[in-house]
This record gives sequence, structure tokens and C-alpha cells, in this order.
Amino acid sequence: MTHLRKYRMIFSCTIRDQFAYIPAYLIGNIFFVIILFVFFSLWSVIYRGQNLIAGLSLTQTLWYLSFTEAVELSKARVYIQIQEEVKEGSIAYALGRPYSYNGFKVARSLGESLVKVIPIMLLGFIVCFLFTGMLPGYWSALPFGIILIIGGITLNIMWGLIIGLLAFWTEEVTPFYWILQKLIFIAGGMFLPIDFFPDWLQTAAKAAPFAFSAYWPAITMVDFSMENFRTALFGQAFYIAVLAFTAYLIFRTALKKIHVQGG
Amino acid sequence: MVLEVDGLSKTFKSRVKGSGFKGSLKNMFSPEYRSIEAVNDISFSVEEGEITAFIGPNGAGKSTTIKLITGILYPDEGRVSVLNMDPHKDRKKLAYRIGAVFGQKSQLWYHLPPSDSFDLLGSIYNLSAPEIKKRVAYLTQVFEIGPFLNQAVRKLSLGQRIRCEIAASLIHSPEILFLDEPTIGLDVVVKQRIRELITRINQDSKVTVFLTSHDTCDIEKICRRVIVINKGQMVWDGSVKQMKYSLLNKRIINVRLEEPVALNMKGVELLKEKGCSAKLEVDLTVTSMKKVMSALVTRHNISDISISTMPMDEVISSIYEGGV
Amino acid sequence: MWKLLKKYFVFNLSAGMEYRASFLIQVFGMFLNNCAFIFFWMILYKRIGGDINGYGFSDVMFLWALAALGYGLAEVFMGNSRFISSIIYKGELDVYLLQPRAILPNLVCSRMNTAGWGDVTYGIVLYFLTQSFEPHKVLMFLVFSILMAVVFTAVRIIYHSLTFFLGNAEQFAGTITEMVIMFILYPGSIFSAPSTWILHSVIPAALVAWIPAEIFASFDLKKLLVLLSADVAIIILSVVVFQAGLKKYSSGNRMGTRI
Repeated sequence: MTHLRKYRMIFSCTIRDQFAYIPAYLIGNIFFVIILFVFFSLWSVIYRGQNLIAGLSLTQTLWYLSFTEAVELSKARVYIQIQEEVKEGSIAYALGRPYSYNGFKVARSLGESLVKVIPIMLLGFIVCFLFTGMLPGYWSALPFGIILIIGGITLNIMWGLIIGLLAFWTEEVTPFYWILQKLIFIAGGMFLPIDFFPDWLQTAAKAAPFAFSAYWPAITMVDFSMENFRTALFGQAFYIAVLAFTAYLIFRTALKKIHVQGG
Repeated sequence: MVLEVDGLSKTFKSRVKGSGFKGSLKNMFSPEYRSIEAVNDISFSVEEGEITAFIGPNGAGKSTTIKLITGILYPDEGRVSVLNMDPHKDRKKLAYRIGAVFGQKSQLWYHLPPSDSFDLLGSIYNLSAPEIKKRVAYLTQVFEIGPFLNQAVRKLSLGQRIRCEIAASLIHSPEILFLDEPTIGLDVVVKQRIRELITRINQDSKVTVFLTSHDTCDIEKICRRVIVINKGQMVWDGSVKQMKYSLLNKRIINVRLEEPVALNMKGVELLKEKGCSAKLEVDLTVTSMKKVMSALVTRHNISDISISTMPMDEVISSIYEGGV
Repeated sequence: MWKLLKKYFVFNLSAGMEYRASFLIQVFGMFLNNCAFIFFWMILYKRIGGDINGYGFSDVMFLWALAALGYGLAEVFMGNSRFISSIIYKGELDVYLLQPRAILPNLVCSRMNTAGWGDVTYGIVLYFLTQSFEPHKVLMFLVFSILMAVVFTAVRIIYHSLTFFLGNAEQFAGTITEMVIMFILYPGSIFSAPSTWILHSVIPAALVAWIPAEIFASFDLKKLLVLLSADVAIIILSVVVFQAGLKKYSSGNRMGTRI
């Protein structure tokens, strides 16, 4: 009995401890709701008098933005963790452990992001439903969409890994992160579906890696076709593979640097 | 009188954190409050040029009292007059004439050298550039802070920093200096140095010093006047000499005899007894050591004896316990 | 007072220069962030053509220039306002209360957030890239930016002063001020009642930017007077709330240093 009591106490203390984070968590989510409200206000004015712009309806556009935001807001701060570990030198301990450093980081960040993305998706669903009504084809697109959203999150983690590892060469990696974030923001279609872009820009933007973090998962959700899904999935797989390999190369080069400098 | 306090009281409200899961939940929606009487009906006055110590255990209300006097906190009840001013109504006017150091808080900029902070503080107190220069030169010499005047504060040791803090609080030549725990966390040598400095500035420029401390050595070494508070209430106000007289006139005798002690004398109190050993407290204002010793010698066979004065710490704690 | 403010300004600037690298990085970050948004609006306007409820591209750019300069000025000259909550609950207000200066200006102006320089530069550059060079327009832009800086700071003071009464309100106040900034970057006309009531009061985006933008587009003396009296009311309210809070201030003994 005393054993059970011990675990019950640990459990209850952990949950109570988490209570401290509830306000911060709620505020983060309130922001999400407010952003959706602003988008809704903006786009309902823009859509006044027309049903489709660039092939998308108001409903589709708003839901699209809720999906790109979901990927963005559930991002793990992996690059900051790595930067800290490199600066403090604690990365040396991690290297001694029997697992791949990069693999460990990816697994951990993925777990963190998945915990975050579920409530955001639920909240986005409720809010968008209240504003515009149900997105046609939501349920049939959802299983495919979830795969692509996880793919988008994974792609972001790969970027985070690469940027974090740059800390071996430069003291402050945050500016690199900003540049990436803004690229996903604009070129990746996070704030505006790429279909709204001028034609000459669309083709390039849709093929660039940034679109596979934001545009492709979201557009597949709101305008589902097997063709979209296949493009999105192959694109994500391709870029994840390329970035993972790049991260591996960077890591190996960094290791040599450690060995030369002795940590 | 440069400082008069009359019937001062201050009560704080604090949130009560319920225990257990239910408690946390309840707390989020309807927090419960508990009031704590930090300072309760305190009255005293200080004369110009005095060094007064304000002592008490942790949480006694020392800092709260200083903050009430300097105008940081609003009193719930009572009246404070500093240099014939109300610290709230005339906060700005008063600020030119008082200085304060809170040992646990810094008025220096952490990433900048003290000289920069002195400069800025000087202009906050409306001093002209040459005035500041002159004053900083004087303080640098007295406090011997020249060697690290141009090092960032974060790189200074605690002792160096507190010297700079006190110097900073004197930049505008205040008439009263308030020091809240100035020696906290310092080692013995540095403490001694700070005490010397406090005494020196008191003598040099006739600054009235009002300090809080829980280090009894501080009081013994530099103060003439001592006020003791405990749990928000004043339990002693008088000169250090007087305190020593009424309390330090006690001696402690530790004896080991060949038989249990049997001594019934006026002015002798049996503090502890264990088998043939005993601890006695002798009040020298009632009886004399000679009488006690001869009584002991005639009645008992003494195998060992030691006589000691009451240490200052015990004096103070006996005051806290209301034993006076 | 002005002498002291000038002193703080020079003092903080030289302190900021000690960390030149991080200063430049912050300025760069702000610049990048703002550019990304401008690009967003460019594409959007190109696609839809015309205006959004009366706001053309150049009107939105005015909002951005105003927001950047106003916010930047607030950060540069009154940079301590965002830390008021933490200063209160850590008991660090003592230092200011002991100094012979009016509390609010002394408190608010004693810190500069160097990243604000990025916004200041950006606001000015953006104005001259997208708006009129006519002297009276430029003057209006500068006046409204300064007004925005002051009113925005007053709003911050009001919300952060809640810490005196309710315990640490830092996150709440931070959220509200962030929302003010977020809202003013969108055309005010896209929102309709009842949300506009909130945007005129609790989150006063209208007072800070939208009404000035309307006056800038077509001058209206009556509107200007109403705006000015609302601004004065907010400033007075901030002083009143802060002073009332001061009576509840309970200090504290946390270890702390000035950074």
C-alpha cells in the first residue's frame, strides 16, 4: 500500500506542478484564437462580393491559415536547446551515450510538438467552425492531413537541427532561425496561400522546401486530392532526407572540430 | 529630533496556498488571504548624529520599518516624521536629504562600472558635473574603491560591491543614512572594515546613521543606541550601555560537584541541572560573585568550575523572548 | 526633468553599445520581421487590386510606419515600462522611491531597449518610401508617432500596475500590449461592432493608430480634438492607477541587481 501511495503522490505533484504552466499555455492558445479572428475579419472583407479568389473560398482560406499556424505554433525549440548544449559544452556528455545525438533530438522534439499540436488542432477546429462553418471534406482529408502535418513538423525539426548545429561555428544562431522563419512565413505560404502569389513566383515557391512546412499540408487539408497528397508527401520525404543528410554531414564535421579542439 | 515615529503599524496580506490537489484548484479561482502584522504600534525617535541599531530576528519587521520611514511603503496607521517632513507628502524633497542602502538590493547598474552609476546618480540628485567629480573623488578615497571604480559591477566581490553601494548612497551628502543589513553575507574581515567606514562617515560629516542588522557584533561595535523588535513589536529601546548593564550584568557559572547542587540564594537562578553538574545564572545587580563563590565553596566540594559572561547573542535572544 | 531624461538616454545608449553584436542582431531581426510582413501586404494587394474597406496599400504602409516608429520610440525612451510588473513584484521599486524624482518618468525612462532602434529606423525609412514628403504630412507623422509612444506606454503602465493589486500580472499585461501591436498592423475598418468597442477601450488600437491614420489621410480638426482628449484621459488614468497601486506596494527582500 505504501508503495502505491508513493506513486500517487508523485503523480499528483507532477500534475500540480503543471498547473503553474496553465496560464502561459492558455495565453498562447488565446493568441491563436485572436489571430484567427483577425484573419477572419480581414478575409471576410476581402471576399465581400466574390466567392472564390485564386480558386479558394473564404472558408478554405481561413481553415488553411489555421493549419499553417498549427504547424508553426507547435514547433519545438530544438535549435535553442542545441545552441545551449554546444555553448555549455554539455554536448560532450551526450556524445558519450549509446545513441545518435541527432536521432535523440529529433525524437524528443517530435514528442514535444505532437503534444502541442493536438489541442491547437482542436481549438482551430472549433474556432474556424464557429466563424465559417464546417470545411467541406474535412473528415475525409483529415487522415492524410495529419500525416502531412507531422511531416511539416518533422521538416521544421530538421531545420532546427541544422541551425542549432551551426552554433559550433558561430556564437549566436538566432538570426539564422529568423531568416528561416520569415522564409517559411512568406515563401512557405504560412500567412497567405501560395496560390495568391503572382504566377511567376508560384511555381518556384511551391517547389521550394519552405512550402512543404506550411503550404502543402494545409492546402491538402482544404483542397484534397490524391495528387496533392502525393506531391506533398514525396516532397516532404525528399526534403527531410536531404536535410537529415545535411545535418549528419554538419554533425560529422563538428565532431572533427571537437576532437581537434578537445571539446 | 531628526526622526520621529509614532504608533506605526503595517499589515500585509498574503495569499494562502492550499495544500494538495484540491488546494491548488481552489487557489486558482478563489484565493484566500491571510494578514500578517509586519509592524505593530512602534514609536521611537532618533537624535541628530546618533548611530542607532535596529535589530531583531528574521521577519521581525526591521526592513518594513525602514521602508515605512523612507517613504517606500505606506503605513496603515501612525505617523512618521523625518527631518520634519512626511515621507509621503514630501517624498521628493526628503529624498535629497536621505540616503539608503539595502544590502539585498543594488542601486548600481550590474553591467556597468560603479563610476558610471555614480555619475548618473549624481545627476538624479541634481548635482553639477564638477560637484559630482569632487564628491566621487572624496568617496573614492574614503572607501578605497579606486582600484575597481572602472570595473563592471558584476565582476566585483560582495565586499567591494557593498562599499560601492554605501558610497553611492552618500553621493548627495545626505543627512541621514539608512542601512538595511549592510554586512549580510560578508566575511569577518570585510564586516569589520564596513563597520569602521560607517563609524568614520558618522564622525566626519555628522551623518545620522540608522541601521538594521541581525549581527549582534555590528551593534556592539558601532552603536550607542539600540532598538529591538520582535514579531512587529518593540521590545527594547535604550542605549547599548544600558542594555549591557541590565543584561550583561549576568554571569553564567558551570559547576561540577561531588553531590547534587543545593543552593538557594537571592540573585542566583538554577538554569540546568544534571546529576552533579549544574548551570547557574548570577545577577550581579542583586548579589556579588564573592558571595556566591563562598556559598558554593562552604556547602559543596567543587571538582570543576567555569564562569562566563552572557554572550551578546544570548542577551538579544533573551530580549526577543521577552525575558527583560 | 528633461536633463535627467537626456542623461538616461546617453547613459543607456553607451551601455547598449557595450553589447554591439547583440544590438545589431536585434536591429537586424526587427528589420527582417517587418520586411516579411510588408511583402505579405504587397502580394495581397496585388492579387485583390483596389482597397480593403477604404484602406489602400499606402494606408496600410502608413499604419506600419506609425506602429514601427511609435513602438520604437516607446522602447528607446520609455523602455522600462514593459518591466514594471517584475519591478513591482520583485520589490525593486524601492530604488526609484528613494530618489528625488517624479516616480513614473524616472521609472519608465531609466531603461532603453536597444532593439527599439531597429523599429525607429524602419518606421522612418518606410514612411519616406511609401508616403508623402509634404512638410505638414511629415510633421503629422512625427507627432502621431510620439503620441502613440506615450499612449502605448500609458496603456502598459495601466496593465502592469495591476500587479500592485492582483499579484504578478506580467503575462497578462504583456499579452494585452502585444495584442495592441498586432491589431494596429491591420486596417481598422475590417473590424465591426462589438469587437470595435474592445478595440477602442480595453485594447485601444483605434486610439493608438487607426484614428491617427484617418486624420493623416484627411485632416479633421474635430476628430483630432476628440483623439487628443482620449489620449489625455488614458495618460491621466495611468498615473491615477499607478499612484493608487503605490499605496499597496509591499516591497520585498529578493536579491536583485540592476541590469
